[in-house]
Amino acid sequence: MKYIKKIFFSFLIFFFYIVNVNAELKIDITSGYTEPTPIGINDFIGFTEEEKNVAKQITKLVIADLNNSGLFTVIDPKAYIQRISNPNVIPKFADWKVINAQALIVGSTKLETNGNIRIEFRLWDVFAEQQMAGWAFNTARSNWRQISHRIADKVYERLTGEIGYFDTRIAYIAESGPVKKRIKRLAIMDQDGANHRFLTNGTNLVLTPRFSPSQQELTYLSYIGRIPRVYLLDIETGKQEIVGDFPGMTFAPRFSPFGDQVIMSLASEGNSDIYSYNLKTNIRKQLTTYRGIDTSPSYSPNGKKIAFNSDRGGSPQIYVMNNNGKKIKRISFGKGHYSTPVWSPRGDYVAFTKFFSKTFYIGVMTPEGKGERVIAKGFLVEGPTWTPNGRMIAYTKKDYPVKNKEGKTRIYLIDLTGFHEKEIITPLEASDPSWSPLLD
Amino acid sequence: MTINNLIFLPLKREVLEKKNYLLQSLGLHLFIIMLIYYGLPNLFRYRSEFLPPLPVEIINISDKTTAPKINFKKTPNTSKNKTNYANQENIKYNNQTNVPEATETTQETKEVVEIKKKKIVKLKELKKKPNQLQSVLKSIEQVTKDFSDKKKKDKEENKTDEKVTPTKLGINLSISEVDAVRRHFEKCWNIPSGAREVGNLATEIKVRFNKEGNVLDARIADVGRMKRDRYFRTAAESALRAVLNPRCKNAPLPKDKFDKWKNLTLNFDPKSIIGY
Amino acid sequence: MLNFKSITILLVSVFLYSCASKSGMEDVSTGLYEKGGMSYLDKDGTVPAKIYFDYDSYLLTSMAEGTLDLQVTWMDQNPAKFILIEGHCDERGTREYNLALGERRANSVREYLTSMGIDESRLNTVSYGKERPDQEGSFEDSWSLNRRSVTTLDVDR
Repeated sequence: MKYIKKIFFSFLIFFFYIVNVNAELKIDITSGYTEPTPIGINDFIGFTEEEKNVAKQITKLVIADLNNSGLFTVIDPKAYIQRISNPNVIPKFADWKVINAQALIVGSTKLETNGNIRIEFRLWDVFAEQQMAGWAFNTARSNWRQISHRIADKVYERLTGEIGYFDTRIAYIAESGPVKKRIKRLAIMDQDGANHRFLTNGTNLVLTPRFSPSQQELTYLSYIGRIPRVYLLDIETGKQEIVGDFPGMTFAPRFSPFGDQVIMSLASEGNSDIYSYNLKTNIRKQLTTYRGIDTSPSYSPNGKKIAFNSDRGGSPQIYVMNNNGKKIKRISFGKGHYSTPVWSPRGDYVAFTKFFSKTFYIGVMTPEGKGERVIAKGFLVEGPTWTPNGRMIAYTKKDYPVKNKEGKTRIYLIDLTGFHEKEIITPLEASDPSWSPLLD
Repeated sequence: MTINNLIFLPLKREVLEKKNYLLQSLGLHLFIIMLIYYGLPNLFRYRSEFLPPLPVEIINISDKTTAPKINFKKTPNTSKNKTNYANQENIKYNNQTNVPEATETTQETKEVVEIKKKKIVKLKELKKKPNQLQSVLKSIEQVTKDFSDKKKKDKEENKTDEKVTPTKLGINLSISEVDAVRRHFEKCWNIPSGAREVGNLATEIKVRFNKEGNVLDARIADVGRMKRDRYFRTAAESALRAVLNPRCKNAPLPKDKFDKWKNLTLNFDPKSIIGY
Repeated sequence: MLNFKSITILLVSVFLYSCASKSGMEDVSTGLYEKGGMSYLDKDGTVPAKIYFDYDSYLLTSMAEGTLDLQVTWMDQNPAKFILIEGHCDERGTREYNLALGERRANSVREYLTSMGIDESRLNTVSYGKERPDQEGSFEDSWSLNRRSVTTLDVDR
């Protein structure tokens, strides 16, 4: 029997060995690095002098957009080995591999006789040596800026899987003057700083502008007549109108995701509660009743829930409730004060401002209150707003005082992962940014 | 003396005596059949490297090894099976406590040890807040020296969150060789950050190498998912680019074992990095 | 000596004075008398207009109540005056929360005054959150002076 056992075992072992030996070797790679992807953008090609000029402007804008997103770094054209002048040839990939361009954009512009511009471009995968995608746009020449943003969108989307956000605008409060008599004006600009204009003249204090889903209107707080109230502003016409006829101060307004309601706080006799106001029917509904502070309401992208700031627990914290005011649940439990909740357009996070141990932070957490992460901090950072793809957050940042002089207040932008923090350049000091939604 | 006694009984006796031999004969016949079924040619090729009967993985430690520096010394469980011999090995190879353990244990205990290892690693990942170098999701509260770290392009630093991958029994690439390949491609993999559902963005890339360790051919295994899932496509393309990156030519694979790695599957899994 | 220079200076100072009081922007803390760095409701400087609060609080300190008692007396003596109570905060809070907190502070004062017999209809409140600090400077000395409620004359009534 012992002999049989031995044979049996040997056979078993041998059997396993042979079976395994035929399986293909698999190696797990579980780590790498994270850096902006280096890409090459060949100057968009034009044939006439005029076409070349437009092409240059378009190229410049696309490069700026992709660089500013923090996810790409466009290699300096001075380093390019191949200069492509024919948009229809296959690039010499070796030349691009050498400078470590992982993707390549080659485009061309053509001015049509009817005043339109036609732009074609291809996105090449340099290492795989094949075309990833190609697009063509045809539009009025005056739209060249918008088209350049759309081009950057397409490249961004194809390479990251995220929705592009470059064809959007930022509304904010432009600040100037001495600290005790600050002049604040509503302002609006393209997300890259172009087409900047002021929407109010600074006579009345204005605060916290927010875009409507149609991008046509802003809702904000104004002290017209020395009475603080929520207003609507038509961006094109500049016309302002009061929202509702409330018996007291209204503030902290936001639009609902479908644009039909404005949600806000109403303060009277020291108590502030959250109200929703239907713009069509003019009917208002009280959503919270706690005698204290309930403010900064923000809808979820599907309109079903509202996140808000309340001190009903003894200190400022973040709560979530159904859009009818029921099922109020606290979601912030860390150390410190939590306020200004803003629901991400992707629905997966709520951004907030946190104040703890003399420092301010911008952070995110899931709508259930899990996975809290702080991604920015400073002497005073507050008021986050999301880009419409839910990928980046802009916020107000005031610097530490220097030699008894108060620090400057500006708008900053940071990626959801906590990297690529950069200032958004504005003509004056700036605060309360609001990023426009995407137009469908 | 009946016919029964004369013929059947002796026959019976003989058969019973020879039962042993019958069984042995049957066993050997089965053995041959299985051999033929599973491929005779392989037998000849590996004959020179026939393993001893005990299923022990012979771990070759060469200079190129960069075994994960997970400090298993902290967990008393895994040292249960160690004998004195293993302890001596510990002293020799400082940070590689898991390696000598394997040489001591049998198949079952080895699996148990590996499962425990995986659990420990997982635990460490949960307890530890994401290390700034690994984790693409930064949480600036714990890491106060953030901004200086950001500047460093540190790929060689202590990767304490790394998963330990047990290589399959019977494959003859040593752990250090596998590690060398891992390090080689890690430095070319630019991981897409901040994507949704990063839990299941593991991509298998099937690679065909030539003798110099250069890639002849590489393709993404799950083509169907590429079409359906945008985020998977981004992760998969980043993995493919890592393999095709000219900076990752000449993978450090042992030339004398070419047949074992000329067709390789590389599984790029960002889960342990972008975990939240 | 009415030469050209002195006339110009006179005219300029008249202009500047009128400009200062009609800046075109909404004005805070109107109708108060400034003396020795403090603001008073009366021209003799005996009734302070401002009271102060602790951080993130809207409760009246006993010092505040003392000041408010003086204000009550003054209001009783000037029954025709309409009053505007402003609530302010320091910058160590978010914008909207501070608007709500400023409102709470103004309301604390209003409730105290009415409890002391002042007619409700004479009183109005407004919150400026952290938008109109009294003291420049990003440190506690300034912040403690910005956490305040100011009792002023209501120029709109």
